[in-house]
Amino acid sequence: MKTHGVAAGEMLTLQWSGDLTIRRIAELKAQVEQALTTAKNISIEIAPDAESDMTVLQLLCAAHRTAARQEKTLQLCGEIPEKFKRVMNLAGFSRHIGCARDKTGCCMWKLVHQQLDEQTSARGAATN
Amino acid sequence: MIETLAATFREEAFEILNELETSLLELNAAPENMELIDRIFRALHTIKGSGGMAGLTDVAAFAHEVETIFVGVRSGEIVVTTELINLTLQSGDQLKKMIETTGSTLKKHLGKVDGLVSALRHLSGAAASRDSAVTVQEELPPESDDDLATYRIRFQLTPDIFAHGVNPLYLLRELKELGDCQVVAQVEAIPDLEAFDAESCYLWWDVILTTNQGRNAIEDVFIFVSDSCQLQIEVVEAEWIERSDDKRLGEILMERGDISSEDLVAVLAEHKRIGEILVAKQLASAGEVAAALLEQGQVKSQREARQNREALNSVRVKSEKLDALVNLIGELVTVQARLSQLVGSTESADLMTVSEELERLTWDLRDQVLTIRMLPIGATFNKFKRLVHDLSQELGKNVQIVTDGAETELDKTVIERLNDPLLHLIRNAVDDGIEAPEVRRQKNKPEVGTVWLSAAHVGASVLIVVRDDGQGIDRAAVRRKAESVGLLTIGAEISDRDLLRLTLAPGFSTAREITEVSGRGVGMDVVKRAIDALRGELEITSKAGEGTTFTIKLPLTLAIIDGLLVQIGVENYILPLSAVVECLELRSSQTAGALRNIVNVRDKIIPYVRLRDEFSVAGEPPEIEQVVIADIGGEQLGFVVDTVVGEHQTVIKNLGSLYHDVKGISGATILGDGRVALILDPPALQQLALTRERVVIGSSSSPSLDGRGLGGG
Repeated sequence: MKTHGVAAGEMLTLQWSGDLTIRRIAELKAQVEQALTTAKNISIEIAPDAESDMTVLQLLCAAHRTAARQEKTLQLCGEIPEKFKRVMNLAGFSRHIGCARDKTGCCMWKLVHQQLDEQTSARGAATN
Repeated sequence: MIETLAATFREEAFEILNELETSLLELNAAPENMELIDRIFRALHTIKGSGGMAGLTDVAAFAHEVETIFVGVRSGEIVVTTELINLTLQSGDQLKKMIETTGSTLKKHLGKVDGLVSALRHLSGAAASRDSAVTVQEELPPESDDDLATYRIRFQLTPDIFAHGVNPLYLLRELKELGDCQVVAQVEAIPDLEAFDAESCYLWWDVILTTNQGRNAIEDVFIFVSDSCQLQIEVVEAEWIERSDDKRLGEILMERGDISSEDLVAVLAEHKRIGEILVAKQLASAGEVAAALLEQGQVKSQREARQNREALNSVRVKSEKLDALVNLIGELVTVQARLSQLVGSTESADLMTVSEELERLTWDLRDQVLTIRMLPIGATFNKFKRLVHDLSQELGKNVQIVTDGAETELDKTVIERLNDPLLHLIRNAVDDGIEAPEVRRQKNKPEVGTVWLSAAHVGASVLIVVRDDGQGIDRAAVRRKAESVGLLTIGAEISDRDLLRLTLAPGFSTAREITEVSGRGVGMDVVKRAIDALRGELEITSKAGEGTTFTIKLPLTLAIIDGLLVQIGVENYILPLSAVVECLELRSSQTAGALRNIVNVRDKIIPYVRLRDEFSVAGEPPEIEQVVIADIGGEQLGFVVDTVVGEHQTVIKNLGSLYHDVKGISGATILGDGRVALILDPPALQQLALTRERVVIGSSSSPSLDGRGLGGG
């Protein structure tokens, strides 16, 4: 299990791995809150082996909204792991349109969805 | 109850596993074909689900292992390789064995299962990871039927649901298992972090589900959370699915109660994309718009699927029931014939009318029932695809099979009995016909050898052709072999056709000298016998270096034939009308003093067999007898009988095992007056006559292959 932040200028990256479920959700919330008090731009990197559930998806949404309200950014960075994407899809978080508070078009679910669309069309083009 | 389930499961499972095999073989040629991958996944998924329901937990568990691999294949994590296909084919075979065996005998299979499971797991572990798109539609619906409906499901769980140990992902997973399912989580209620309780549930969900499981199955998913869940289930209007155009997004949102008609009119006036405007104006949330968009898409795809399905409506009936039905029709035909005969001797016009009407109905009914027994030959073809795949790997050859006319329908019994001869022909083609890759290269032939297997209707027959582009039959080798086993006099002249037909002779196939004889003839007599038993004909053509073609001509059905009723003394016999060419008179003056049984028909000499002698019928023949000329595999042979009664619709009855060895008779039928007539087997009678001829003539001269000039009795 690894959960730590790496500050680089105004960008702070949280690296989340291992158990990202209700068992640790309070701790993860505290980390995000802490990050929002210290940095303007936060990115979260999720490890391929991370176990996630509905609570972490909710938390990310809440964190994103809070960041948007504070005119900060919060996003998922790097390649989104397959395991996480599966949970995201099953939970119904993949979407075309960001929420009403997503003024800058940076809804993380929308961005992941676009990433998936691009991969699908790239695969389609490769097989044609 | 569980036994009934298991029996139903077995019946269906074999069909599904056959489909699995076909899809796997097709996937071998097109490893990127997502439709095939989906089909394979669905087959495994169905076996798993229904196996579990039927109490066959081992089957379900093993199917789950194989299915897991295909989850990876679907998501692009695992690449389709020959190894994967072979392992899955073996797993399919194993599943078949496990389904066939029950109880204690199942244990002996478990060792093999363990081996396959570890090989599969190794494959999934070793599979190269590659970029993949997560399929938004994770599950496709089971084979669709008329109960398919699209549901709009909206549910919200109480905020403390996580604390009760409920994971909503499980609910969603169960919903996805019911059919084609799309999920939108509604996130609008999630507050900022300050007010956010990480262990509370702020979400609610919109789910669009197309399933044939019904509303109860959906409600069952929520049964354990019924106290902590607000659930709405609505059926998306059926008439919309039937509609040719797509419902607009605004209509769906209004129908769902998410926006008012005033909102809609106002937004439409702005001429922008409605979803974006509604979200921007906060008239609808992004989640609500997303759910409506998914509903629009899902209904559209359901409508398309329904159109594709229209031709697939069918009813599953046990084949024994059909056999019983055919038997009953047979009885009915017999009784009806008897009635017609009785009515013929009365003067009642009314009775005659009723009898004729009954006759017409009986024949219509007979034709209909025989049509029901017809099955497409495709399932048999698919078995051979597997055979060719396995054989070519085993022999280190590169062979493909091309099939045509899989939809051609044949009587179920004919198809079953055709399996072995076709298997033999195809095995010979791959094993002995098609050359090794290096030899083909040297001959400037494509490295991949091809075996063609085709079926087509020609009149009242079906033509099945097995062709290969191999080395063809070596005539010189056939001749050497025939001469060495005494089938042909050394140096005797023989037509090419007859030379090739020698490979079908029983004596020809006693030794497997494939190096010399291209392997043809190995067990070919078995093929010939099987085709004869089906009242079919087998023709061989071959070009050296180019390949060999076997053409099998078969009758459409074995249950009822058109026959020619003949009499010898008081005995009745039936000749298959399809073989009959013509009937001639034979006066005793023509035969008196003749040394050989031959008749001159328009300057053509045709040999004949006296059936009175053949069947030892007592009594003297009449002054004028009848010769029924029959065509047997291109040869003409006459059968001498006392009288020709006429055409007769013949319901074939088997003679039973006691008469199994009686040559020249293929069955029996019951006549209208209740008497029994034997059905003659012209090829077998020809063979009997030829054998007797050889005995009479002895080994001093070459036996005539075309049966010319059969010795007199």
